[in-house]
Amino acid sequence: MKRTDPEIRSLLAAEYVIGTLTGGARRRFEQQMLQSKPLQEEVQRWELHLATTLDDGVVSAVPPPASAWDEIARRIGMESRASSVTKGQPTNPIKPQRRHRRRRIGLALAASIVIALVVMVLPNRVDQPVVDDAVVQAPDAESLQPAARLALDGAGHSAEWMVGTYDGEAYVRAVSFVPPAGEHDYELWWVAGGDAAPVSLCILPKTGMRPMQVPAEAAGLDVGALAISLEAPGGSTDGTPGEVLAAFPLTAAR
Amino acid sequence: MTTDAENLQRLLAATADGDTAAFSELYRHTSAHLYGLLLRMLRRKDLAEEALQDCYVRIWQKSSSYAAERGSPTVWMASIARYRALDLLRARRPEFSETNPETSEPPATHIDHAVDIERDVDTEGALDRLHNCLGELASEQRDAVMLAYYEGFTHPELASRLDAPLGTVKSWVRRGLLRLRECLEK
Repeated sequence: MKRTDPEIRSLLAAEYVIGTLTGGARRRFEQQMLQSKPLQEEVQRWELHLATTLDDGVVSAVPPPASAWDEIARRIGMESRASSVTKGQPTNPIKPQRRHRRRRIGLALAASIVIALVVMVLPNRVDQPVVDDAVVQAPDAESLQPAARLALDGAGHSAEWMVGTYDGEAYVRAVSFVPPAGEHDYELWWVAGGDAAPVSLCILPKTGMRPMQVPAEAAGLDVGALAISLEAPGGSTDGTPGEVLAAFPLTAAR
Repeated sequence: MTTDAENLQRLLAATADGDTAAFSELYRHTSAHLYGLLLRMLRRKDLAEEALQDCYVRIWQKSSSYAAERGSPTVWMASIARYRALDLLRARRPEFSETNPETSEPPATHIDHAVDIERDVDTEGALDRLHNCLGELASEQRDAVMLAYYEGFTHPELASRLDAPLGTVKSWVRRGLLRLRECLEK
């Protein structure tokens, strides 16, 4: 039997929902889903079809430990670390997806993992870093002129991005992404070297593509390094990186 | 779930407005079900608790994006929980032990005789239809689909569990899903 496109789309969506679509196929599907309303709808249809089984007692309800709620309350910024969830009367909860915290200063390049050598020709821009959640859907992944590959692998991190240009603009595209434990974002920095402060380029996307805001002094990107740090959702709020996970020295060699 | 969907929708809407008391109540009504689901999939209490925390932080952050047309709040929340569990399973695969689970219960899938897929014939709508359609699948197709859905099994893990070649298992999953779709939407 020759399968029609809607059948294939539905099958992929179903395997995505139940989890048997894995690895690169899963990541490619997620990228396609970003740009395809029919795919999104098909995934939702399967979620609806299958999730009804959660209501029927097939899965036993198990009361979670009290520590779970305490940690949730702490993470969303509820002042009262309610021991009883019925008394979670908080003040100033952190509703936006940003949390504010101070981070230690300094980029521990020497202790980080050196993975890739890159050279990029990027436009002169001095805009402030973009930290919103918008993921740019254009240009197509295939249209991006690749310039560098950034990879995290090990110590609980597994993700990869491609940096490149399209029509004079710099972009970073998620190639693969496994969410880090807890609620975190990865942030990309450029470091001139010496005592210069790191410059935030962007929050690295989980899926899809995102523009990079590149300062003028980094236009050549043939000195210094790129670095990836682990940040609270929304990224660094004080202009300095948190835990540096990897660094990518820049050279003139390509 | 025992709490009706309308009440949960009300709590979610209030949560989206930043009402933490509503969020607390939402947690009280739903966390045991999500934790049970996460324990089933992750089989480790520490991972399940971590995933539960991630889920509710996400529910808190994304509550405004919930839309009723995406199904009941439980469907929406369970989807968040399942995807988080799948991420954790895939990311921690080397540490994940299937031979030494911390939960004593058997897998809660229709592969187990303890679960009677015909038992809820009096319930309405989608659940009835799903049960009926699952009942129409060949047993190996149903087992493969349900093990993947509830236990987070990959194709190779299904092949090992069901003692069948990888290609055969993939075929069971795909044919099972296609038959399920055909049945659900006729």
